[in-house]
Amino acid sequence: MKANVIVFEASVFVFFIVFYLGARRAMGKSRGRAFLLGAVLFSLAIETAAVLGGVKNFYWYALGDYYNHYPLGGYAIWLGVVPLAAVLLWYIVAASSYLTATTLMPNGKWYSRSAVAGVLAMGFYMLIEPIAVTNHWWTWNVKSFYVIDVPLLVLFAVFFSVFLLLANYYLTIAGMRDIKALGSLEKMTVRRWPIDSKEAARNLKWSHLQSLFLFRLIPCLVAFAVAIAPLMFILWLVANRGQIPPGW
Amino acid sequence: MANKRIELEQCKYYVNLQQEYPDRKTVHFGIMMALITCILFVFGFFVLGMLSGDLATNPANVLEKPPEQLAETMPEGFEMPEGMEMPEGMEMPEGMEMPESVPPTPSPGESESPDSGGLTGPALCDTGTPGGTALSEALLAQAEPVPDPAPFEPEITIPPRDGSVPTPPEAEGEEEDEGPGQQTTGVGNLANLANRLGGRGFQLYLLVVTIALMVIMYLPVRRVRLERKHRK
Repeated sequence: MKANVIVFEASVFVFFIVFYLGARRAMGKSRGRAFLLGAVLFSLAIETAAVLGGVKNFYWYALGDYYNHYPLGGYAIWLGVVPLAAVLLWYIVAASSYLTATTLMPNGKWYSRSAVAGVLAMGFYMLIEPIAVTNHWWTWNVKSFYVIDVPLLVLFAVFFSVFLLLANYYLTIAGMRDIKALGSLEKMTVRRWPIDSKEAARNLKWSHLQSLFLFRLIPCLVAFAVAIAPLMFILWLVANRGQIPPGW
Repeated sequence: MANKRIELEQCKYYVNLQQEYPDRKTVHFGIMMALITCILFVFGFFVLGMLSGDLATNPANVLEKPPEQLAETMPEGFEMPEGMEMPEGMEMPEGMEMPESVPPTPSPGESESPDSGGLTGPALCDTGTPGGTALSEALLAQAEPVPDPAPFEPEITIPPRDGSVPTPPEAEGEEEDEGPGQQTTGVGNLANLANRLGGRGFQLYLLVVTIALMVIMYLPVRRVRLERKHRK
């Protein structure tokens, strides 16, 4: 038996189903669903940007030809340029980090719990990434500083992405808070449609609260880009591996 | 007002399930189910990592290209040269061209020269004068003999297993002046870790990270179990 991509994909799907059933009980059906939707959209946006920006690729299994000739050789389900398994993997990591941080720190502030979950997610990816690059489940192309063939940037990116998603979840879904800095932006956009209400977040209907949570993922993506850009530049300066040209 | 309050209470109950009732059986069962699944998931990755030990020791593995595959059909209009046969079931890869040294297939009307290796015969004399003109004779005199066509040998790239580091084709003479090459070295290279400690470096790394993660994931499971016991 080899650590072929089909083994990775199948195991992610199986574990996802069992994990989701547990997480749904732990969070509540609707909140579990909202978390899944938010995590999938958030990670899909980041992964797509990484692939299109030439930071990462799924070259080995992105070729239709390769897949045609290896019936068990490629990812089966794709969301654009990103395999579904990679997105679900991120969800499992983020949700398990959330559950761990929430259970271990029941009275912690939202930012401390999010930070702990982010660090835990980094630990997960310290295990996953070397195995993934070894088996060509994906390949990193970016010019950066690498440790055991994994860009250091990736671990920071995992931290920031998990931190931001969980901060959004704690503040919007669990805490039902209004964020002053986003107030005017929300009034101009999501508060007009589909929410169509100026009430405080605490008084919103569940569907509206969910819309607000999904809308706040956009500022989270902006914050992610702002946080990661200087790190990307610094690691580019001290890079120990160059950029692989496009079309690799 | 009372109705509104009840509605808000219900909403709060619904949304803040975990904060309001952290000791509920369902929530506890859910946390345990999710985290135990996650522990198994981590263990599964550890097993996959163990299976990847051989690949990890090869420094060129990470940037290795996928093996070239054969196309399902021959390219349109492509003909096999005479005397050369495709093995049964073998097809030409897409985008692959025959090497220049392989002679073109003569059309049915043309007579084939017995010495097909040289520039003789009607191949050059297609100006309407089959016997050859003064011009064609002069050209023939200038022409150098061409060596016999080399047998067709497809390029096969076999990844080295002896620890040597081949230069990827893109890296040839490009990156040397501009910065780091495409091959990581030192701490950046996974093979360096994998080949240390008697070839067990990668396995030990995976073991340490796996144990750390499993212990961290076990802490909330233990806490939930204790809470459940305490409630009983």
